[in-house]
Amino acid sequence: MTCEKVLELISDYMDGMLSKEEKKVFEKHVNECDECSIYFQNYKLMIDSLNEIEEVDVPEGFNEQLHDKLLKENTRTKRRTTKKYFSVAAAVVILIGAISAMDHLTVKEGYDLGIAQEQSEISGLGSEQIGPSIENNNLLDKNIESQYETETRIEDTVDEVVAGNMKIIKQGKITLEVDAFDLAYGNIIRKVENSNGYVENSNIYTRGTYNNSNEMNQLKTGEIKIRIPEDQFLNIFREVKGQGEVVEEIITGENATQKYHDTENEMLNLTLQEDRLRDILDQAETVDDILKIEKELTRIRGKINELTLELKHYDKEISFSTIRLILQVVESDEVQVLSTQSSTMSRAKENFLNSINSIISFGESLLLGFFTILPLGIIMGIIAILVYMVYKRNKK
Amino acid sequence: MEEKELIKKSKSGDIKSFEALVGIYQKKALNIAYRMLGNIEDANDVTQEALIKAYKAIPKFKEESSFSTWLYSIVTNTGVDYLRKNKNKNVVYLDKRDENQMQREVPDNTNTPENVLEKKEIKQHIHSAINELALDHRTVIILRDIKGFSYKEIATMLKCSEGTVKSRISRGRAHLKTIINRKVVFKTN
Repeated sequence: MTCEKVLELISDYMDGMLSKEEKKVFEKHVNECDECSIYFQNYKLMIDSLNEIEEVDVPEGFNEQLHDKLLKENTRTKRRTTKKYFSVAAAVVILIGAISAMDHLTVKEGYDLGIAQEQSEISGLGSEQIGPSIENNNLLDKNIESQYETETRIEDTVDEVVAGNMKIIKQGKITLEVDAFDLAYGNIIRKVENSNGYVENSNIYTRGTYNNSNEMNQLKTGEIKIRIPEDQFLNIFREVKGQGEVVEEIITGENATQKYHDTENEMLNLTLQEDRLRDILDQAETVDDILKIEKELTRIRGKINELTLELKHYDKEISFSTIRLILQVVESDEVQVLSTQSSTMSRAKENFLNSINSIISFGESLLLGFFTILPLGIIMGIIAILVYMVYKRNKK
Repeated sequence: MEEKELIKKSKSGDIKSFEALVGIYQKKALNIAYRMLGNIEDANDVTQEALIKAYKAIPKFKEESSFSTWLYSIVTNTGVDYLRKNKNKNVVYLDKRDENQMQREVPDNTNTPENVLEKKEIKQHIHSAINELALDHRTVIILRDIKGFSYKEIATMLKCSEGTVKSRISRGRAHLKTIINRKVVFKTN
């Protein structure tokens, strides 16, 4: 055996991994070779020293430290499972948010439509204060709503309506330009009263404009709400139009038949229920029962009253049609020619005001938009924070 | 309580059972880490980390090997990871020396005449000598000569063949001896 072979086998020898024969040859060489003998002795001493290395004790607080970490780990794994649920919940929230946002958008579209119509009316009518709620309701309730431009079609429809015993709430809107305000106003009032109608509301005011020669013209404007019997509606509408130049005219017919009958049916049901309760009340024996029944009766009675009022309101709206009339005095052509400059000035002023108004309305819609997005934004923000936290933890 | 029962309870996340289970082995685990890293603070950190890893992984422990072997393998691996991560910080041990170089080095040393060393001398230098060993060698020497694991156990822990373990031990010991020799000679001269 060579010395090199000894070096190769010494490790195996130490661990008792040599065969008997190898071991014999190995030991023989080591005993005979001085160098290998020294090497072997030192090698053995080294292994012994390694074997004798004493173990150190665990540092103080090792167990406590470990315990804390284990507890932390435990809550973390628990939290991880809750995190799973949480992400599911977050997904649901996003979904709901998205759906509601879509819902919101569609509603807003409808609303915008209503506004657009309203605005087109206003632009025609000038400063008239109109009740946009009616138009909007028409739009949103999806009741059959009709708006007719020509009279003949209106007459046809109205005939049909009367024949079919439908409940139609008729409303008209007229903007008139007249030369002589008082004359036209007087004529209209007289005609309305002759046909058993009445003026529900009349608001007359003047606005001043300056003409070319710096003279102030007092221009009267009137906003009149007229109520007339349903059968006289078209008649009066035509008469009113004859008093001046028509700037704008709108007729709407809200079909309230369905609503009306629903309300009627509901009331009928309630009345039947009331009768039944009265029967039961007669048979009731204990005070407690009587009190209970009477309480219920009161509730039903209240509901019936409510519905009665509603029906009455419908009856009134149906039997008396509404005409909103705007009367505007215009300067004679002659004067208008003279006052081109002032009209330029006033138009400039108008444009100035218009642009200011549009700035204001832009700001308003901006603010509105902000509040529209706000709830969604908050949810998104929370989700973003969560996602960030999850990401951070995972990264960790 | 039986170890098996403790393992079962630990798998369901019971901290007390786990602590009882590792209580038997944690001293040895810490000492493996201590020999690998060379200082007690790092050893403490690594052991704690390894035990937490074990706690997390115990549901996946298949009981094919003994629990202690499984646990020590986690400790060793955590120690190796730690040393690799802090390579720049830790300049104590000899950096990677490839196996061929090592082989050449060992016979070289045998040519120089050797004196019989005293055990006292060896013991004096053995700790720093261990720290100078390459990581692979250091690990097997610790497991074999300090902790007394069998080749088979070491192979399981390090996920390598017994043959690899055997050759690493052989080379590791030879290299360790060279280092000790050099240290003793330097000192005496």
